[in-house]
Amino acid sequence: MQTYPIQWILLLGIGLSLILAVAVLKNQLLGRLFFICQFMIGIVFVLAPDLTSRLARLLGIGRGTDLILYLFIVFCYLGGLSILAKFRRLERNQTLLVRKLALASAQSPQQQSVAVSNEDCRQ
Amino acid sequence: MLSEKVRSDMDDKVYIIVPSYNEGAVLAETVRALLPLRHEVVVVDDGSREDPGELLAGLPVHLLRHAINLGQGAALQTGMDYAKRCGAAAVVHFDADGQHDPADIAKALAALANGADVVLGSRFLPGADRRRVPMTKRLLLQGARVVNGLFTGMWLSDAHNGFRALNRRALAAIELTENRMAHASEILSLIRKQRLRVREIPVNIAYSDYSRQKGQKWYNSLNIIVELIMNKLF
Repeated sequence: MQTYPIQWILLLGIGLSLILAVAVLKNQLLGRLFFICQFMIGIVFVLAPDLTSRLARLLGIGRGTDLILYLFIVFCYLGGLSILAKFRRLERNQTLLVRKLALASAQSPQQQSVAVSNEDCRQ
Repeated sequence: MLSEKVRSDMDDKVYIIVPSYNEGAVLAETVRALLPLRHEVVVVDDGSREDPGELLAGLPVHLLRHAINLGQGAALQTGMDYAKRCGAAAVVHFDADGQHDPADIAKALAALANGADVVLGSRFLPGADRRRVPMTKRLLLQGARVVNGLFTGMWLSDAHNGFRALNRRALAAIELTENRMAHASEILSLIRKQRLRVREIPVNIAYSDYSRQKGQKWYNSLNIIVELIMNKLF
């Protein structure tokens, strides 16, 4: 099987990404499996470019490159949305934390004038 | 016995929540105008650069501080959580920039006493001086009214008016998750979802140069729409 330089470059990139993904996703078996499968498919497509073309024709797309492009767009979109969702969850947690702190250190009028603590509202 | 008396006193207390972000001296003026009403005033500082404690020194207010800036919706919810813990009978949302009229609070509380769960201030009801609202603002608010109607199913005469009053039932039912300005629309959808009885009352808004500059810019309405869509999705 004849190989081209671009294939080695792509394989190197995929390999590095795989190592990064597996290292980042500690204790997340599903996440790791998802990325490993994805990178396996990537490796197959790099080594056998004709395969994508055949798959593309099966799906009614002219070129393999187009198939990859379409998949890429869908993937980016889903990835972006899931990051956005994660972002909102983090923001929500941050809000709850800041609120908790604010309530815990609330100053009531009594506390400002006389040294009487009004614990009622802080709990 | 004494503690029971204290408890029952606490039970009919009204908490006026004033969310504040970098308001400076205007905050103290607003608070001073509220004090003669003899309600509890809760200032929620939303992570201002300067400590509002110094500005409010000597004034009998409850002061809560967000460690970082989260947005007006988050500040209101913090204030409402605090009021709930204190056993508030009702809360009033009141802007810190001095554009709301303290005299409207009694009207809002009267409407609550007449059976409303939520009272919303409106600049466009008969009795409100609608000419005070600048023309561009009026157009923008009409647009916001339609967006609110479409998103929340609540068709009101005004939109994004920060003056509101909630009774204990509404206080328990409403939990704001929109940290920034979309909370105004979120309140409407929660009112509808929780089947709260709502009433609009005419209120007066004073548009000073200061409040105009602090207030919403027209392009913020686009941000609010995006936030609303995001909230529907996630």
